[in-house]
Amino acid sequence: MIKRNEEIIDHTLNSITDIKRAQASPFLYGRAMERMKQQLPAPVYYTGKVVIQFALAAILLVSLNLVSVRLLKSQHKPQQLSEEAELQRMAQEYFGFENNNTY
Amino acid sequence: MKEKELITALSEGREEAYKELFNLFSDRIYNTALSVLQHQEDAEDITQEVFVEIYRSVKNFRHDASLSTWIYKVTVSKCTDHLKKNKAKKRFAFITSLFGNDNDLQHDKPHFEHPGVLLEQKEHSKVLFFALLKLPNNQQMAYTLAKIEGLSYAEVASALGISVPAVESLMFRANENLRHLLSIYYKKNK
Repeated sequence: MIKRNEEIIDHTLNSITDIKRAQASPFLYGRAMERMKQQLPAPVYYTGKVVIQFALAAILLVSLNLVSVRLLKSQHKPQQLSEEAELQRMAQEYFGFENNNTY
Repeated sequence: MKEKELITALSEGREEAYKELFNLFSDRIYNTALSVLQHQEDAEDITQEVFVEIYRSVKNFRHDASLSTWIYKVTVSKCTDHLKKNKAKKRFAFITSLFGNDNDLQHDKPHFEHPGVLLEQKEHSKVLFFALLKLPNNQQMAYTLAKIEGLSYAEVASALGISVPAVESLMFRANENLRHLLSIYYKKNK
């Protein structure tokens, strides 16, 4: 009886002698990659609408800058009078009358 | 790809390196986890966790051990954590069952069929796997790695972070305990 029991135990212990390796599901790779990607900080995705809004804002900003630079330049520029107006100004300053002559 | 090249490619985060790593090691990780936990979904979960852990910490990998040893180490650690959680759950189920709750104690009879066992050995292997669950964790790990994964005692020692004589001692005690558990089982289930 004891011998019989020992035989069964030996048989049980030897039942995994020629065991083959269990194979992982091929779908496991995809799931593992998905998990790995979740570990990364989430990338920021810009939609087309957001990109267009950014571009328009940038164009607006650049144009505003250009306009303000032109305005500033024009304010500092010495006023260019026409030749006739300059003569008029000189006549008034030196002779006290308006020069109505037409040459 | 050689091991060093593979590790470099992994630390650079190259996807083809992960594919190769998966092809090389997924079955070993899954088989170890399945044999220890005896639950397909848990084993798949552990396999994924091991890959995530490799992904996270491959940059810190020191070349003083082989890649396979390191992977077995991570697998053993993940399985041990899972076993601890399972044992805590079982204790809770046992306590609640004492107070009349209808929760059945899970795994109180042989249930697990390893897919790699020969057909004629199925019934005996079920009993063996059932007995393996009753062993202390370190004995179960050593026995699984040596007898089911087919690692040498030196490889088991590296994976468990212990010496070869310590593995020999674990294996001796595991065998003794299994014999004892099996004799009790067969006496009860004549």
